[in-house]
Amino acid sequence: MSSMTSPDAMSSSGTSGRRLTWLPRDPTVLLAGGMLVAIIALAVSAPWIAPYDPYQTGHIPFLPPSFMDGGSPDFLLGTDQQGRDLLSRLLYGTRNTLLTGFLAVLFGGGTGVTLGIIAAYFQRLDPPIMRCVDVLLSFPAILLGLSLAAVVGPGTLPVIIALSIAAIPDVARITRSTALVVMGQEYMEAGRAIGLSDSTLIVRYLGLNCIGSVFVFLTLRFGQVILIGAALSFLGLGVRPPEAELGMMASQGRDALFFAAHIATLPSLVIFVMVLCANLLGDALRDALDPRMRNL
Amino acid sequence: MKPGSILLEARNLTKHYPVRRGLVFRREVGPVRAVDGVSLDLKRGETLAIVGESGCGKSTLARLLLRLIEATSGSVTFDGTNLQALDREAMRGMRRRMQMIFQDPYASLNPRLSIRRILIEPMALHLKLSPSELEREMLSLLNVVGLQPFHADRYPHEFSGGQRQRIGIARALATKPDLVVCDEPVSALDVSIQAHVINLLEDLKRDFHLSYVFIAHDLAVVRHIADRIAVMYLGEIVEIGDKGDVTRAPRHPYTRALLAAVPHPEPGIRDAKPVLEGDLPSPLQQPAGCKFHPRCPFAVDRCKSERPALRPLPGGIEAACHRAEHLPAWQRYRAAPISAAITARQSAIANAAKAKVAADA
Repeated sequence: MSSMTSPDAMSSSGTSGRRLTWLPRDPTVLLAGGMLVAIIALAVSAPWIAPYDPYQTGHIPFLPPSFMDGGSPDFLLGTDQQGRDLLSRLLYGTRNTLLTGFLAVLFGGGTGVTLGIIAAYFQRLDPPIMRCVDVLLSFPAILLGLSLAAVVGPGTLPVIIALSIAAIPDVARITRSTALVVMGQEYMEAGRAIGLSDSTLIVRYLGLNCIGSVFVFLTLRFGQVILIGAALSFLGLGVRPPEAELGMMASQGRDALFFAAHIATLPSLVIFVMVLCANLLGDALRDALDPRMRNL
Repeated sequence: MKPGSILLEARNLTKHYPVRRGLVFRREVGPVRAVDGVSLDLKRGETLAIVGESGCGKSTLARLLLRLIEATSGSVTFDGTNLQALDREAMRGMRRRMQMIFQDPYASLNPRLSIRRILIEPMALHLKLSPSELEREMLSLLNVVGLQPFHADRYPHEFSGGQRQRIGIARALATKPDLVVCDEPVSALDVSIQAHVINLLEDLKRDFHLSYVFIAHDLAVVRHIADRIAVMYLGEIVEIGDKGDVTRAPRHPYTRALLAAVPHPEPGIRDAKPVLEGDLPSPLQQPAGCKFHPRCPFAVDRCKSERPALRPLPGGIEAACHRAEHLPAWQRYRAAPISAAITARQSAIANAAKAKVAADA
């Protein structure tokens, strides 16, 4: 029947408007996307909205959040063990964590996707590329970060490099396996029969059909990267105290877990919410990018 | 563009795939001879059908003719140009003139591209057209294959199999090719849709002055659309000739077996002879001599040792059979006695139908 349905009954909006009009209809996307945007906005504007200097000590330490017993209205989320305003530190810490995670996923993920797609498309390059990736896979991210820090010295840059390299093998493998499935599809051959160049085939045929599932994996990876970054900071390799970073704040708050639980739990909660939102959003984006999932 | 001149010429085309066995020490256990020394000519304006059972190398041959895969040996000449001699760039340019229609309409369209982009893509690549001209051409293509302008903004998954195959056909026509290789274009479609698509292909051939290489395993379809028929068995052409000659007076026992396997639409008419026994031999271990001899009812000792070459026979057919002259005369249908059980079942069905009509009234 579909061929006989009248045009106006089946009329659809223009190609460009479709994706964007579809997205906000899903409440999950609205919620997750909204949260993530809010967190990013807060993190970016930290210098302007933070009530205190995040490094200024000397307030009353271990102050609980203002809505709890013994809280002070001056310190909305309380203070940490050195008497620094926790809200201000959270804002700055989120900024650092987001930036580290984002850059690592951008560089590592980008390299991994490129390697995976090249390995799948040019079959002769497949064995050498994948063996190199296997070598990378055998380095634990923590160890890699340790040795990098030994060479470069601790700081944000070696953490980003270590996290990027750690992200490459998984992303490359996932991308390659997805791309191999796509390579077996008849439309790849159809594209070649038309006379398309390798670059067009790779981008418009192979890449476009892989990016959905790879994107979801990247958002998952984003969460893991943040966690590994926190672990590196905990070991004293990444961001160094007193610099604010969520992972480091969480690990430092551990010591006071039994009498000032908010110092460790609040940064952990922010990490949790960010990772969750990124996953939900990635899932929804995958559906939105896949024309087959539309109109369901 | 004079009709009758040769457009496509294949000489000794061969494609061997190496087969390796073993987990650690991978050794080659011998090639699969997917296509083994095929030569054929296609005239302008002609439809050459290539038939054969599954696994005989039809689709591999189709891809070799378009150089979508590289031949192990042999050559393809398209309109005077040896395709094997072209470099990548020149080959890509040549693809404007030679297109392909694929078997599976569900897999042959990029699901991420709208129909508009699928159709504009080949034109933008090969034809120097402005955006408005591209749009106009795209709409006229949709019209030619019987789709509506509003379909342009849809994606492949929104169409039925028959509609998708029409899109595939439109894409193949977009660059105004001379040659279209159809790789079983209707075998994935419903029988009712098959007729539409076949008729469309025939109309397009006339309107666009196309030449077809038509791969199929359905002889009923082939009989309708082909001018000439080539029959393949295990990577070789065993018989080639005009459609009428091949279907009325086949000279190769394999062609006869294929024709005998086509069911007759009238009940009660069956072939007297059993059709073909045994399976297609493994392409890894092909029989010596004539590849068909283990299944051939007419095989003699010579067939086991000496491979027959394709040779012209009186009547205009070429066949690769030592015994072509000695086969009994070909007769398609014989009325075979229907078994009592079938007669009883048919009359039971007829009675039931009558009873239902009576009950409804």
